[in-house]
Amino acid sequence: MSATLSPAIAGELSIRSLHKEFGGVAAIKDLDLDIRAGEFLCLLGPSGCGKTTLLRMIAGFEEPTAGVIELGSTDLTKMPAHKRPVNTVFQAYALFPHMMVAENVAYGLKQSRTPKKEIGQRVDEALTMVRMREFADRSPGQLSGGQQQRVALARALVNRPKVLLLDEPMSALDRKLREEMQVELKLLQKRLGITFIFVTHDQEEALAMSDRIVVMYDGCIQQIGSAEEVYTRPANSFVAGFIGKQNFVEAVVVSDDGGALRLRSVNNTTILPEPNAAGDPGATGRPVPSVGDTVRVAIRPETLRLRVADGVPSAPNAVRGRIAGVSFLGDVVQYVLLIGEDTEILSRVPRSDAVPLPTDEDVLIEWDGADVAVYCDEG
Amino acid sequence: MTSRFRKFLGDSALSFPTWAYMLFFFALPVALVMWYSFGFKPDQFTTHSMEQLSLGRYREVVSPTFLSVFTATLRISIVGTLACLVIAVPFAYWLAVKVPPGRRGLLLALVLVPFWTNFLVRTLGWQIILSPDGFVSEALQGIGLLGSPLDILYSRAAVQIGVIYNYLPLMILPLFVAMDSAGVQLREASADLGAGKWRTFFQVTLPLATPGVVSGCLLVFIPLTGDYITASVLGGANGTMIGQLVANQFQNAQNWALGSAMAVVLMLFTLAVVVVTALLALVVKAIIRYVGRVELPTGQHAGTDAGTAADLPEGSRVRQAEPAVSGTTTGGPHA
Repeated sequence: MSATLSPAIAGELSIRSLHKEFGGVAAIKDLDLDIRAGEFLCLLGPSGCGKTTLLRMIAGFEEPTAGVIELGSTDLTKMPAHKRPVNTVFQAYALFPHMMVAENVAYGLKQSRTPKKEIGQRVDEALTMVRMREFADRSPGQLSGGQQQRVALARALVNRPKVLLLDEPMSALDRKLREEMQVELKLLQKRLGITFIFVTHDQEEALAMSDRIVVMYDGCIQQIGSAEEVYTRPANSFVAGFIGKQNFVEAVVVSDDGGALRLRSVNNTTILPEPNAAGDPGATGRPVPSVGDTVRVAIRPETLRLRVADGVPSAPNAVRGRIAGVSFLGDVVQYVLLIGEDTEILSRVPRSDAVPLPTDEDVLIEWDGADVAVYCDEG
Repeated sequence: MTSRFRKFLGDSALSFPTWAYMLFFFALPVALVMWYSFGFKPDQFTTHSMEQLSLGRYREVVSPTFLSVFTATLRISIVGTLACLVIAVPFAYWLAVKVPPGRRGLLLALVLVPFWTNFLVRTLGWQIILSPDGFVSEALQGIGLLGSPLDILYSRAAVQIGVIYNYLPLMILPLFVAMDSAGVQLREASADLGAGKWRTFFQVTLPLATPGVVSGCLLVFIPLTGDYITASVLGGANGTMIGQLVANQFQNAQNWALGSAMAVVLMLFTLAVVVVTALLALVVKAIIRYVGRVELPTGQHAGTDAGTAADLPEGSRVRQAEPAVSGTTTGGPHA
């Protein structure tokens, strides 16, 4: 393990046709992924999507059924875990309970037969970096979850890995601490320039930290993109539904005027997506629906505008509804809206000084065609 | 259980069956044995008399015959315990680490199969195996490893083989539990940090299994030292282990006083061996800890940083760590 912290030779991973089966069941299906040197990449997906399996194959704990993992020009595929220049921060931290904090952090350096004096210095630096220097002589059992996590981070980073793998390291922390750690981890990664691969099922965490997000489902990559890209331009209805709050409505294509679709939803609302807008099927290479097809329409709650019902619609996309519930969520107010008898949709508006609309109020719901995404897949 | 009874005993009511049993069937008999050891055998038809207390029986115990049997016993039990440990460690490791969890139950059951048979019967089985005209003897002669029939039965070697067989499961079980509880995660963490299989075993798996090693050694060593069935069946009548001598005094010679003194000496020596071993283990542990210690530089920043960091707002705390990181970067060429 002779990696240095210089970003120039930080890890650049290339994963080709990676396939993994457990007892005949595919966990990763023929996956290709390029991870740039020094980027903060999140593998995001629901449990069972294969993200942890992918991470474990990069770490060397699972052997791929087929495919190649390369770090720069080194083939890692057959390399045993203990020889790979990558380190992992485990979900349950996996600190050695029979060693003090300092010995835990020194463990990797001892394996690479680092001189004793240098071990002391580097352990000192690593512990200072995660602000755990004063806990060097404690045993892991005496530390809180957040402190253990810092030690786990120091224990991995002290080895100056080319790639740092993080397996849902914050899932055991409470919300406030988690948000603090997200900021800190991101800053740390920027400064060190090490490639971070972060596995999580928490989309907020992924959005907050990543340079790029890899959304996974069912052993396949659904979309790769920046936080903004996956949020505003989801590649399919799975991503649209998984990232952020989403309203899905089933609709039928009534007419197609050179890319300008006219849709009618199940409750007879007319929906007019912007022709070839970002969310439009044509723009992203997704299949284009033809007239008569049933499609899934996705509209983000925060793109809906609410007005009192006696106004005149000011947008081509509008429908009348009733407020069935109001919840105050702090920075936003969330409305549950009822259109017709049984179509429920969510609307979120930033909290303002204006008094929130009361329950049972009839409202006019408006949106822009640009905020409508149309999907032909089943989701 | 009435509430008054529970009030009287408190929470220890739950342990009542255990300590009552231990008190009446262990502590009291042991106390009696200790008491008898100060007595004497007055005549041929009386087992003991307490009319005149003396240390005379203990002087009898420290006879050359007794001491030679005693050293032999100690050797058999120490060698036996170590052999069990050496055999059980790889097996327990294999069972806890390599075998898929679904098959462990079956293998553990196989380890316990000998316990389904009576202790005496399975020891007698070894008479057949080790006898001069047994199949082992004939097979060894057949392939030319032995020129004459196997001559091992009724010897110290036979007893040694027998006790290892009889006590091995008692070593395997606690070792397996200890190695299993260390968990796969820590071994993965160790591999992740660059340790190969052997280093992981000696630095993580085995140290974490220490409680299992300790209880396994105690479970084997203590009953093995007092064992007399194995010694009688495989060692013959000349008495290779102390347990035989004690049993002989109580049963044949009907000298309870002398038998008691022997039993007390046996107990004290067992205790002494355990204590000395424990102390040695502590010393070894301290040495390992000292050799493996990590000395952090006692620079000024290290001390003050810890104290002040907690009082600073979030942003400045993160920035404060920067000098250390630049230090890390300049340390790069050493790596």
